[in-house]
Amino acid sequence: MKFLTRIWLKKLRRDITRQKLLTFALILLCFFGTGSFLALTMGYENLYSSYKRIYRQTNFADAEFSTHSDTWFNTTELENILDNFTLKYNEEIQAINFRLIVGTSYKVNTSQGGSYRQFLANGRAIGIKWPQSKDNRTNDLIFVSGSYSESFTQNNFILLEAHFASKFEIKKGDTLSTKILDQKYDFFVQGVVFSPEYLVIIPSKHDFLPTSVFGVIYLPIERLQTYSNLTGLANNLIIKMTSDVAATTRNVIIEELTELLDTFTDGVFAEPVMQEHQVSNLALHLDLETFEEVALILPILVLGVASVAIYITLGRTVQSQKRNIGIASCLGYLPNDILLHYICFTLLIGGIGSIMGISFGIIISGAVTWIYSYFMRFPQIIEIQIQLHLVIIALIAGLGVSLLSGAIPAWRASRLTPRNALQTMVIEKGSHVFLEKIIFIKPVKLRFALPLRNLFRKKIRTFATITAIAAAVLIIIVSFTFIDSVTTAVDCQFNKTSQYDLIIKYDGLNYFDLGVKEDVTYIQHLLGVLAVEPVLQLPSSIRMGEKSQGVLITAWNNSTPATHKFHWSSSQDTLWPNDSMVICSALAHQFDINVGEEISYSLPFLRNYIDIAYRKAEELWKESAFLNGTEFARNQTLDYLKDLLKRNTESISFSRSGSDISFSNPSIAVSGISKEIWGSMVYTTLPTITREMGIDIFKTGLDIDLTPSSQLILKVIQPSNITLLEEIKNSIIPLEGIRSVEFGYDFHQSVNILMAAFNAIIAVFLVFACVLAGTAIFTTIYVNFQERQREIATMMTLGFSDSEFLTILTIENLIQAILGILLGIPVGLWIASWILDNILRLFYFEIILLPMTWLMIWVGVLGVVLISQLPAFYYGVKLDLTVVTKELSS
Amino acid sequence: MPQISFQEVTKRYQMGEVTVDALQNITLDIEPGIFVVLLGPSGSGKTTLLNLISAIDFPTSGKIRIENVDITFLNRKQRAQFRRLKIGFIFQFFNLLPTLTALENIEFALDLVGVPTANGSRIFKKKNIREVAFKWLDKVGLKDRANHFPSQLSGGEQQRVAIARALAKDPPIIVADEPTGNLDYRTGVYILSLMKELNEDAEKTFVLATHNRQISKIADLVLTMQMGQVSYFEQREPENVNNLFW
Repeated sequence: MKFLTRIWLKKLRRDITRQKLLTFALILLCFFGTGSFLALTMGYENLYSSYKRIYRQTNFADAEFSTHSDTWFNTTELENILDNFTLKYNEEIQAINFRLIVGTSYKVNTSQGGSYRQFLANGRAIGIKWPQSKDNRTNDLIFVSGSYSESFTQNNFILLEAHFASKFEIKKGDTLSTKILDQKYDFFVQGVVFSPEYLVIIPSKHDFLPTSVFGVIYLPIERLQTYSNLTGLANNLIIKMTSDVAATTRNVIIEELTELLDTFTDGVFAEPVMQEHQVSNLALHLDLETFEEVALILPILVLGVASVAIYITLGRTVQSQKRNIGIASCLGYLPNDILLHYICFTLLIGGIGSIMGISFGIIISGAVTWIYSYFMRFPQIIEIQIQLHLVIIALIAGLGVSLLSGAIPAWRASRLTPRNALQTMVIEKGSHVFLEKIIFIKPVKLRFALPLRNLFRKKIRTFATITAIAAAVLIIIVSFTFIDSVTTAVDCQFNKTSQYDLIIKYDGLNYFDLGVKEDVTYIQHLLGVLAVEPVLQLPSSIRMGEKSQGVLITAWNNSTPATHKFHWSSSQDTLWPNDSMVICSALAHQFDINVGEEISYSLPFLRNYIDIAYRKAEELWKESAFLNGTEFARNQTLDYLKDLLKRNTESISFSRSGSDISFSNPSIAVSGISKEIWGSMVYTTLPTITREMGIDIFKTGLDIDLTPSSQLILKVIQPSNITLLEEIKNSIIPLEGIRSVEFGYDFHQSVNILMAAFNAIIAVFLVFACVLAGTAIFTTIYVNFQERQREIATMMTLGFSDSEFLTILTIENLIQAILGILLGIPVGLWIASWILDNILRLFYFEIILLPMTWLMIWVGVLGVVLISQLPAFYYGVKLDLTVVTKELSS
Repeated sequence: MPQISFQEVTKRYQMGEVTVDALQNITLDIEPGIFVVLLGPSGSGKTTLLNLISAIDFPTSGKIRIENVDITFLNRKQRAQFRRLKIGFIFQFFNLLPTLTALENIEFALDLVGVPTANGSRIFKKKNIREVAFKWLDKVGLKDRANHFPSQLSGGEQQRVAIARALAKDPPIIVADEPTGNLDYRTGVYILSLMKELNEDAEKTFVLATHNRQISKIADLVLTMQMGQVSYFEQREPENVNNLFW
């Protein structure tokens, strides 16, 4: 163990102090590598383990079965049906709960920034079995305040979901003004809760952005049944398996339950939603996926660069200490002593960098987790823990990278024979560069050819520098592509395409019966209103070949909407000629559809209503006609239908001429492709929906709740005038059937906050990229300079001025920088495209890099390169020519 | 008017806590076109004297005039300019740029000053520079090695390229620090004869530092140095290089 003797340790200390800057740069790279790995991975793991813990604690349902809108099941009947099933899977099924979910709206106030505002916010009430036994609680609630036992103190109590409570500063003991089916209630907030279903508030899979103005309340199912005239009925079933059930068994049970429900409830139930596809869980999962990818890619990039930098630096150190190595060998030190001495050097760098990185990573990971959960408004339920296994992985990675990258130079040092090591003067081989002939550099002055040849002297070093620059450019390109693509698309979507200022949502599909036309006329005459447009939104699915996709059809009553300006992808795009539809770019991209082509579509929700209502009416007609004659039967059937229409209490749907309804016109032409961020939007007109798609049902006045599908979209004269918007809103709220009135302004604000958070994250990455590029470039340039000190000193002695030296240095580094940028750009664009396509797959973003960004990338990277060469330049001009020109070797 | 003039020049170095007087109160004048040898053991101050002549070092005190220019207080840029035009360097370890061929090494030096024309101006055209570089390579007998890189040349050949590089830019003074120190006897003699020949033909002042007493025999002027001082100043009739033995 002679390598640990005092003299060797002294040498080690001197090696480090002699090249302080270089050592610091290498430590910095290791620090960034391990730090970024730990910060992101531990942040991600903390979130992931917190979710898992929350899901476990709350018995997050394995699957959820919802009925189609405005269809219900009788809970007692279904309990009986499920008796045998639960008995059969007694071991596997932990609980099956029925719930009633009803659309609601809330009148809430807020005073932000000194201005008082009133909101009519959208939401839903969830009726749950109350009280629940502890074992039976599926999708259990986490109490921020209050408890189950306290909840019995008042008859009109509810539990309020925490995001909404936080947004409007509603606390336990406050009153919440709620509207259920146009009836107003003042509920007493007995507790504030988190639910595993609403860790991220996304009301449905067609609402793409999380919101905090969607209120969810919980109350006993019996009370909600009473409020909504649905005694004994429910519309939602959740199932929780025991924790040890295998995935295949779980799927078999869900499939069997689906079949059972389908058979016994006449197709009332829609397709089940598995836990992994539950919208909140899916959104969180997609976020974590992004985290996971970045947490892996970024440290690999940084540690890769660190590895090359250590290899180069140690190689250079060994080269410059050849005489020392030779002398040590002559004195009798063993090759292993020399090997271990240099390994010590590299391990010291890796060790210091890793320990610093780990400390930094632990702190930042806590901050990352906290900021994320704060941003998502659930910091109370997230646990931040030090994940020891990740700390160990980070340490192994840091030490491993430094050990592996230092091993080769250290090995070479230990294999040096004294004869070779003590060889007085070794002149490096020179050679012509092939490029000189290609780019005709030969006739150019030698001071331009010299940097070019220098690049080919140590190809591995040039390659390392170019790779480091390319890695930094890659991070910069990905970051800027994110910013430009998302900012441009979001700006276009919310400021140019969707030109609405207010959205009024109705309870159900109310166009004709509930007097929307009168509403339109009334609202049109309100002061400040520029345009009012009725819109219908229908969940649907489109198909082309083997591909199919769930979409949301938005239908305007107007053939040229004033509140939506389409941004066409090509000059062939047009707006709805002859009953056609416009699809968003994402669908065109996914289905590879061009304008003029046709796609198949279906409306699974409506088909069910029609089928069920038609069957029931037909049964009634037959039975009554047989018993009472046709005239009586006709009246009875009509009464039945009227009753259905009026009460909406059972599964209904019918059309005036039931058998004539041709629901599935199998295909419809695409007339335009609109550039939008949404992943699944289709646009058409109400006449097209009713005529071409055969949904005559709207004309009959059937009240089908596709909650909330009927909307009025308003455009006003002064969109930023909140007082005017408030006045318009207050004039609209008293109208019948209004569920919510939302401001485009508020939506823009929340989008802006999202974008600000997004940009802040990107800014961190940009700083990171610049530091990475700067450190890596500095390391390679500096080592390069050290190795060529004698040459530089000779040039200066021959009469080279400082500026001429700087020029040569700059030319060399600029060539490397340009090559690095050119290599980094396509790789960066490819990765950005992959991330935008795969990780942000709920949205569609075109890859955009604005001209100013291109300029910034080039100027920025070249600037960093030029700055990074300054230390080398500084030491170059400070070289003691009297000494360096007379040294034996460089 | 002397070409090189030192007036009470002192040079002190600080080596840790010890102050070393590398040169002490040197006063000397050297006339143009002569072959000067600075003779002395290691640490006698000959290299320091050479460094001061070539303006790669500053005196601690005193005054240095070269070619009628007071170089004592020149700034970095002026010193670089001075070295470029007035001094040709020949190093012990040759110091050729390894990525340039023999011809290019000479061209590289010429590229800094250009090729002088009859009217006193300088041309920086590639063609002219190449022509002159080639002429000098021919003069040192390496015409056929023009496209060889330093690693492909022997020590003697490298030093010949270095001599050509130093002379090609036509400086009035050539400084050479132990030019034969890294060469065998035969090659050393050849290099010295070449330098002597160029000194006579081109009428350049050569200042050569060496610890080899034999080499001092070819000088017009020998300055023997000891402990930072010129201990012996000898003007002499130079001997033939071929008579040297060591």
